[in-house]
Amino acid sequence: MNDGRVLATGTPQDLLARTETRTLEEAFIALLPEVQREGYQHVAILPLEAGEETEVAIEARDLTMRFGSFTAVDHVSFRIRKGEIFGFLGSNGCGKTTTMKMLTGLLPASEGQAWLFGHPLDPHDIDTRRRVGYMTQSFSLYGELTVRQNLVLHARLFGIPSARIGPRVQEMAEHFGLAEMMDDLPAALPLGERQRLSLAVAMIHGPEMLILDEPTSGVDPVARDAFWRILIDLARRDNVTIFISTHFMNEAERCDRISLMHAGQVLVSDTPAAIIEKRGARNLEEAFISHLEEAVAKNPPAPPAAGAPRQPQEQAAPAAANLAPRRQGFSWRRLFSYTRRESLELRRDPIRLTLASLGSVMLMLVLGYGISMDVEDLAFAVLDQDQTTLSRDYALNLAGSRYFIEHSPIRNHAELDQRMRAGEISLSIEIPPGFARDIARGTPVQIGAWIDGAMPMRAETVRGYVQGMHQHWLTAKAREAYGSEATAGLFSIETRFRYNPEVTSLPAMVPAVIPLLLMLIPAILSALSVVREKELGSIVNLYVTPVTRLEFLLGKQIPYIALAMINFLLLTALAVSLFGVPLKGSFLALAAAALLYVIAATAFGLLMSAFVRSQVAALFGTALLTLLPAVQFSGLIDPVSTLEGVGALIGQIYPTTHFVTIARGTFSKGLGFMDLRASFVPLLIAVPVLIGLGAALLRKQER
Amino acid sequence: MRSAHNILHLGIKELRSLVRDPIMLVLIVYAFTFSIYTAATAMPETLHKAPIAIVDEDRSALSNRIIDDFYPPYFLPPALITTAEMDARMDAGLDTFALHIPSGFQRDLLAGHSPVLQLNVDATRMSQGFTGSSYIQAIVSGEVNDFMRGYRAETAPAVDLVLRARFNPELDKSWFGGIMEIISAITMLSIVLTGAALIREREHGTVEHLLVMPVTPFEIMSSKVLAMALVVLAASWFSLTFIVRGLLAVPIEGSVALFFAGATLHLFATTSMGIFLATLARTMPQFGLLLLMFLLPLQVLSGGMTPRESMPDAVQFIMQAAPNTHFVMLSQAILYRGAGLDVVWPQFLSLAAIGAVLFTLALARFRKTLATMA
Repeated sequence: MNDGRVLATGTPQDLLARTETRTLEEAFIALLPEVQREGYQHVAILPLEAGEETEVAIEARDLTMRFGSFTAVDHVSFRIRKGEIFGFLGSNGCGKTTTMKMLTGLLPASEGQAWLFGHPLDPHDIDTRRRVGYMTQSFSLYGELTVRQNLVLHARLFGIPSARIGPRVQEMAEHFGLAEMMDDLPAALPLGERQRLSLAVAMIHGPEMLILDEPTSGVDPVARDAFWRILIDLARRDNVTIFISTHFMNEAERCDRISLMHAGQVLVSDTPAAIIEKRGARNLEEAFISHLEEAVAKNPPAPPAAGAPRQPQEQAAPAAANLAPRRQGFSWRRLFSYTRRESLELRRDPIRLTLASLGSVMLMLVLGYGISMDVEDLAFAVLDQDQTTLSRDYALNLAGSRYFIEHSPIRNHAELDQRMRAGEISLSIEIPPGFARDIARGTPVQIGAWIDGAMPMRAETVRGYVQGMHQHWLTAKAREAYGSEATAGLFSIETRFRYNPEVTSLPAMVPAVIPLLLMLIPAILSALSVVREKELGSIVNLYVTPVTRLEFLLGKQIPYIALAMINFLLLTALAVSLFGVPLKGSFLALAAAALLYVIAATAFGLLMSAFVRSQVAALFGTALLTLLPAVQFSGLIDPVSTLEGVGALIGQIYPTTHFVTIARGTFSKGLGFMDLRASFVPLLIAVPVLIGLGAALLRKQER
Repeated sequence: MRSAHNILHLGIKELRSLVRDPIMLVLIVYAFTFSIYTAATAMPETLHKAPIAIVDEDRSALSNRIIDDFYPPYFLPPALITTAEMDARMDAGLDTFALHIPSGFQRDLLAGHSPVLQLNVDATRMSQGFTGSSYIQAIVSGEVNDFMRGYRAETAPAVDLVLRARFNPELDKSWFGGIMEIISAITMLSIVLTGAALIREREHGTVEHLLVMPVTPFEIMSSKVLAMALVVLAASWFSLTFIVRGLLAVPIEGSVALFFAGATLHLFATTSMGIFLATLARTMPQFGLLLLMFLLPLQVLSGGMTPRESMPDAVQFIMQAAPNTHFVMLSQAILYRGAGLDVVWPQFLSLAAIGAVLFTLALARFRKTLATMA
């Protein structure tokens, strides 16, 4: 197929015969229309001139890399001459990439040594890096920068003088055929062009050596041959040393010399022709297979060690979904295939699981003990201009309470101002001169009290305390003066603090912290689940399989709901045991509400996830849209009925508000289903609304 | 020189990446405008529209006068209920207060029998319950005293307490809320941006590319720290100028420049923290969880929500190591109390020290984890 048209059909042999070519690849090129074939020439390999043995570009001796007990590269040695094209041929996972990474200094070798341009390899040697260009099998340039921006950035980082950057970028663009797409984003380019961009970037600083790790995997034959013509040109004309890995036989044949690699070991190193000849094989492939068989016979492959780095198997699970013939209605099977896959990913990431559960326990401890609504130990100081027994008595009255701590007395108004500005004292009391004398005479006196209003909530409380204590002091003085009967109260108010008689923070805060944590953690986790696939590309599964958006989202949601419910049980157990906040009401009602609530929380995360395009945005957006409403608009501190404006509106519809009511109701007030039914309704509404919105916003097509 | 050059260009790259994510830009704008405005204006006075119910069994002139005393903005108009309804309504969270006036209250009062009123408070609503009950006491006492004036002589000494609130005379909570919300947004955004920028490079394999170039880990990290700090500074300047001073009309006492100098130091610490968290996490979901574990305590325990001095000593001590604590202190001092550098230098010093330690730690971890990243 080419350009949306089928060029030819037939069995492979048939096609080969028709076009009189040796391989299918050549057949494909022969079948291409004239226009596209124009400029195509068979890749001609100029032989490397002999006699330059003296200059060695890369030398490796016994390079070894171990990951735990797994040996990825086992005593590999080779020498690459300057200007040589040296190939590494081997199957996937045989250690090619690891060897290359050791040579670039990305991985420190476990054993062995290597020299670049005659100097021992030093990962911290910045100057050597300027002489090497590196390109990997996966596209690893910045997808969010245009072609030109990528080239310019790398030119700058390699320290090319500003004046020369423009011409150099232009030169590269022309050389690598990128001139027409300079202002495109790499994502918009076909793979072959992206690879050319990668190579252009690797070449921007005119390195003496290129290390190319499977540069042509996934690229079509024409683009691959074009790529190779550039490589050969570089090697022969500019004397650039090229160290390339591949698993294409025809590419390996074009190298001056190749090494066959298998299971971390080099089986043989020689020119392709010599390897074929020595084995008496017809072509390189046969020779390679024959070497492989010999190697496998010698030491049967050990099962991969547990410590070996595993490749993510993103495509594993939805296979089941692929089997379903067509998209028809709603399929639980397709849904569960995503559930299985998502839980598999979760299970493979024990750190995430631990963080999710231990994290919520830790946060509960911190918040439960840390958030204290009690205002006590407030710093105050007195500017006592009277200095009599009576004035000191007044100050002692304040200092004696548990709410206030007296700091050293204030000497003058300037000091009062300075200390309040510094925030050292939040209350200052000013007792005027002649205080005691005036009281004795019955002349009205005024005591001044300055409260730090920077924190209004604290200021309000301080005001209440000071007024109370002032009153108390007056009553006590009156009692001293006139006897007790004079101050017998006209009436009294008996205040009963319900549900939390000691008015301590713990019983009030702990049941409210549970909803907070059950919103934040599940929402963050599920928010990343979809957008992560978008960013890393595996979302294609959704586009190409018959799974519906709803199945996809619900399937992904289930593991997170399960995780959140485990957290719920953990937090409830913690509240009852460690914090000693008894669950007086119906556990069943609390658990049912929790289930609804975490479904809403995860659905909210998925909604964010469907909406945004990057993980950063999902993370920030979810944190932004859960933290503020859950902490401030859901009754955690201020009851929702007292809020104002938009905040009040958000508070009334936000699920946390209702779950806080249910949690406080069941924990502190001993209530059950029937008493709290009004709070269940908004949760029941929130669930389908959030899930529906998420499904509606998720795109089935790539943009 | 070389280093500065690399940091500059890598920094520009970070900014370009950010510009390519329009939804992220919208979220940043939202965080520094709408979100701050909402949070600031939503915050009620401690006692604001408190729901109260009254059981009036006396039905006297006095009890009617007491009922009439409860009106907005402090209280919602009282719901007149029966004793039987009292518990159910409080269970359902309809009322925070229920005042019970017994029959014969006025008669007993005049007869000098010291009658007893009963006030029920939903103590799970702590702040409102606590302040509200003292207001109710004061309101009822005032009414009773007025009613009884003439029946008895004044007995207490004539000492008047004149209470004035400094720096925010009306105790307007939006003054407080607006600034504290900016601080939260600054912290959250700076950690998320830098941390995610690093994880992103790692997940996309681009960090590997940087590492084979003549670029040091220090340069990579500094470029992110600087670029993101710049973004956050710009956003917070906009927010302080147009939202807090403009829209919310919060008067700023002190020097805005000094505040931003403090903010810069704070950002130095938080962006380094972002990098540090990103080196601990291997994937974005792990980073997200770590972020919450650090962000939540930072926000809640820094003194920006509840007063620091009321927290347990251990918490106060540990939170000394958090940049937010010092940033909240210096912001309150500068913006509300008009303090100068002579007053807030200890906080500046602490922030610089915390920032330096976090930066060094993050850089060391970053260097160490580079091998596993590639």
